Amino acid sequence: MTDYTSFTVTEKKAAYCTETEWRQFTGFTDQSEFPASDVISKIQIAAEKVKKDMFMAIRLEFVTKDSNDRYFMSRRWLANAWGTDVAHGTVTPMDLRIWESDETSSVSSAFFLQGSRINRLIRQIPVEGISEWDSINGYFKLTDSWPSSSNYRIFADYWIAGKPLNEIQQELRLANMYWAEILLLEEKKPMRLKNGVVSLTQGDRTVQRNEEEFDKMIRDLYNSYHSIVNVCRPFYGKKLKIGRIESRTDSVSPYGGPLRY
Amino acid sequence: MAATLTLYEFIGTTTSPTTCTNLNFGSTVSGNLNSTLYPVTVGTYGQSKVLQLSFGGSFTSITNIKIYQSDGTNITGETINYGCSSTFYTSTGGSYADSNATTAVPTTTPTTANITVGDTSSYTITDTENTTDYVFLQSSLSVLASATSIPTKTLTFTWTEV
Repeated sequence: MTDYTSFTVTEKKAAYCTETEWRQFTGFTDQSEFPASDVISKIQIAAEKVKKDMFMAIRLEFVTKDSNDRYFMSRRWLANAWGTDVAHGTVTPMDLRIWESDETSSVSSAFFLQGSRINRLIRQIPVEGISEWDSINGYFKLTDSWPSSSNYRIFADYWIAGKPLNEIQQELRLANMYWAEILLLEEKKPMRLKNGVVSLTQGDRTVQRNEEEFDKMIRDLYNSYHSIVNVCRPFYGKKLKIGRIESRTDSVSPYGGPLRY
Repeated sequence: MAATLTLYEFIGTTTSPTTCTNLNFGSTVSGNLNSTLYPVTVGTYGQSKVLQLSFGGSFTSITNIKIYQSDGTNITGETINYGCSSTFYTSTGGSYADSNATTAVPTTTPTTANITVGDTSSYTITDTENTTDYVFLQSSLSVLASATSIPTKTLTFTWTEV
């Protein structure tokens, strides 16, 4: 008989950067001026903002299954879901919302008799029902328990970025830090303007606070944030034709033809 | 003198295996890895370990090789799967389940051998044919798991020796 020990550490990230990384990046190391709880809170709020700006939601897309039980989604690249408290920078089952749809004749006819344009009942498949997923090739597999009836069709909500997530780790981190910094500095603004005092004279010396420079600093951060977002967000637009000049079709747009990458 | 077991982990190829001193799971392919440096993201699979048992020392024959979890409890959402194959496959993890590791490691001593040689459980290990099939071990952390340091477990290998 021989024994071996096994140890595992698990992680569940709520943002794309940590408080330590934010303090190193910004230089705001003063804990009394920027308390840890406030910084962490703003970083998490900023993470959701980053997700909403960088990633696009695809909702209730009908997915088709191949002979290996892989359900394929049409668009690339899979990204993190909006509205969750996790932001791993990698795709997990929490970034997919899978639905099964009951479109049997009784449901369809009942809806039809109600005069509805919708002919199906949808039910979310729990994330534990996703057994495997591939963020590059854009497919997932379900456990044997799903769909709960072989007659049901599968639909997916998912989120896409303009580039594979593993290529934009730095951009995610930077954007998260920039937006958290903006939130924290904007929080200081009302206190700076307290009582409207922007200058103080004592004797023959006047100290004047330049609010325009403060605003300009925030604007610079805002521009830096959006330059990063523009690199990462998926192209989503309508195919355009002016004279003989036509916009390219290799996009993820539903109007832009098949995806090529 | 009794037989001694050496456990090897294969990193990418069947050459230059690492001698295991522990079976820590993580998000990278490495023998005896530091779990703190390579945490497994909740909702994903740890990188599977591709192992092989090699018997040395003094013995005539060995049969009935078993693996089970003799100590330590699994947290909610945690599963450790295993499987055997005489064919080598590279490690899998992240968003992919290892198709060779599909059975949960038992928490009590199995009644029959669950580690194979030549893809069969009826075999005899000798001092010249002293290795088992490849053993694939993979940890799975479902979305139900929490972010934590999971309590240490003990995985025990037993065998019948003549």
